Amino acid sequence: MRSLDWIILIAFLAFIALYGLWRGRRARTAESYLLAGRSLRWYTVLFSIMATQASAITFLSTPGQAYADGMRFIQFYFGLPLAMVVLSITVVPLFHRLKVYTAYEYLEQRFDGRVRTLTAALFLVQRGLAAGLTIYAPALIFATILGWDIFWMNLVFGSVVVLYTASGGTRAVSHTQTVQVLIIFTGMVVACTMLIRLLPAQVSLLDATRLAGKLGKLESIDPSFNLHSRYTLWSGLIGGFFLQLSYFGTDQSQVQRYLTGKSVTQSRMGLLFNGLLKIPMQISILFLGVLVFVFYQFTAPPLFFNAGPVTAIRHTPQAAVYADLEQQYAALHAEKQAAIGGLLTAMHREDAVEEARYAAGLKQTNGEMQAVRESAIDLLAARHPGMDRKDTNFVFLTFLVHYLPVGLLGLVIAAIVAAAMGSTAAELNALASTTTVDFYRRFRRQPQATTAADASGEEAGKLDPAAAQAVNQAAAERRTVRFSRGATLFWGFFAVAFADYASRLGSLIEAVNILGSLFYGTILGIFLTAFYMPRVGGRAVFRAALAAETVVVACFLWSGISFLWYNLIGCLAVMGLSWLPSLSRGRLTRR
Amino acid sequence: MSALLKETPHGNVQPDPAGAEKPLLFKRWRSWYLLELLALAAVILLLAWVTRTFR
Repeated sequence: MRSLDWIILIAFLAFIALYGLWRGRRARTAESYLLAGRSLRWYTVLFSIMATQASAITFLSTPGQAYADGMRFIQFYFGLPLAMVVLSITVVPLFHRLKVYTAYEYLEQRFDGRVRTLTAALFLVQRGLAAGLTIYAPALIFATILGWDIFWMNLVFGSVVVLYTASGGTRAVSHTQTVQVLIIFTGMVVACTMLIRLLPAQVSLLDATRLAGKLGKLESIDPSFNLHSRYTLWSGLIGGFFLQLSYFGTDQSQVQRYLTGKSVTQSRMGLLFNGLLKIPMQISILFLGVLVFVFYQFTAPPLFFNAGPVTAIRHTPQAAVYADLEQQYAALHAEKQAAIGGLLTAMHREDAVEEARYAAGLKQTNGEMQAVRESAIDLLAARHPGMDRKDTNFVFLTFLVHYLPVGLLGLVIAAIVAAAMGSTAAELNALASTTTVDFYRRFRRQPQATTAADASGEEAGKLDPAAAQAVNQAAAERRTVRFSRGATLFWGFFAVAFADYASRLGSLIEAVNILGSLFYGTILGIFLTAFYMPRVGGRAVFRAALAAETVVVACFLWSGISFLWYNLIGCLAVMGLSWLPSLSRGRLTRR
Repeated sequence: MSALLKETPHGNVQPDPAGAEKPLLFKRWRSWYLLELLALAAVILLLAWVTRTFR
């Protein structure tokens, strides 16, 4: 990065921090600190929802996934619009009417305190760990570019986010997220424009798209019903629906976003617009990855995109073997240029026979290149046991660093950092809210109340019971806000500590989704039981939730079933196991 | 706050004035829900077409 890139990035970070502090300066009551006074318009709710879901992981890992695996990942989001509709009809009016601070408050009234505590605890574990991954992703960018220690980078990003989130609460988070989404869209447009400009002069955008299609990168829909295939139309529609329903309906980091809406209408519009915009946005990000793939058909890519192990192996006896593999890889890349040229010419002439011939040749060469790559990965993995064999997280990053001009690199990196900050802030904000509302407010020891009799001297005569109550309430509000700030700090440091371990995981976006799927099904099952099974009581659902979580973890460890299905399995297990005791009770009653 | 939680979706809930607000653009919420489903169907069909055409 050059000076101009640094200036843009630092100016952006400083602006966001100051803007957040300024926006949240009046958060003095629990409602204004935790829910922005329930005063936000639909577009702020929308941007807040989008920024919460789209983390830096989205921008680092998703293009890399498209580069390696094509556009199939888009199917993951097919359940989202359906979930938005269901939530708009059911959950949004309910939560608004009950005026809850967290989704878990509702469960205590419907079942009992135990179910509320269990569900809130599952959320804290799952989201606390996920927040660590959200912080780790941008730190990875800077660690790779500058070679700095990843722990210190986690600490720097985490501290900036914690600063304005702890200070201004939800209002600061939601308003900064609006700015962050605008920066993200700008960064995406810049990256896409640069990719198109960097393609060879004779290759148009349509040519690039057709080339990607011929090489299998545009295969977006898989209609097969295969439980072991990670992304299919049905896993996206059914499993994805349950995942998104659970994420938006029961995950406090999203529930808190639309609870800030001024009315049911404002919250609903935010969710529904998200349903319309999310899939096109993900298609655009995946298409960036496809364009990077096309770009590297003309420009030689590195043998392995993760520069860390590659740099390390150059100082070992295996350096010569690795260099030899690099030469083979480069030779194959040069060899396939003739086939690419032939394919483009055949496409222009609309000669289907020639197209098929060149495409087959190209696929074969790409297969040979992949074989060389696998040998190189084996070599690296032998030297670094436990190394992640996937390098998808580094593909987009490598492209940005090497090919974006001065200034634009700073802007695109600012966009990625913006995404990281927005989602991390929302997560820390939600973790702090749940800790405060679902644990601190319920289990704290009540401080002694101020009464008129307690007041001494002149105040004794002036303070009537109503005023004393107001004083007590104001003091309680201040304590709640103070505790929430402390909880934000705690979760910020917890996330930074967990982020230190994140580099050992595989593809980051998949890691987050898998982690979510381990818990979301159970949490969703609890909520759906609450909504639609009035005969089920607290004890039954509590036991069912524990059993369902065991089933999901067992599936994860031993079954090989794709993770999207865990949401359905967990949800159905909770509902089914909760229902069984009431069924047997009903039979006994009839007898 | 806990007093407000006494209502459940299965209890005697009061009509919510905020819920009666009109949505943007359309007169009824149902039109928005339909739009969401149609947009999803259109995206899936478009992607299926892209998958077939550019193969």
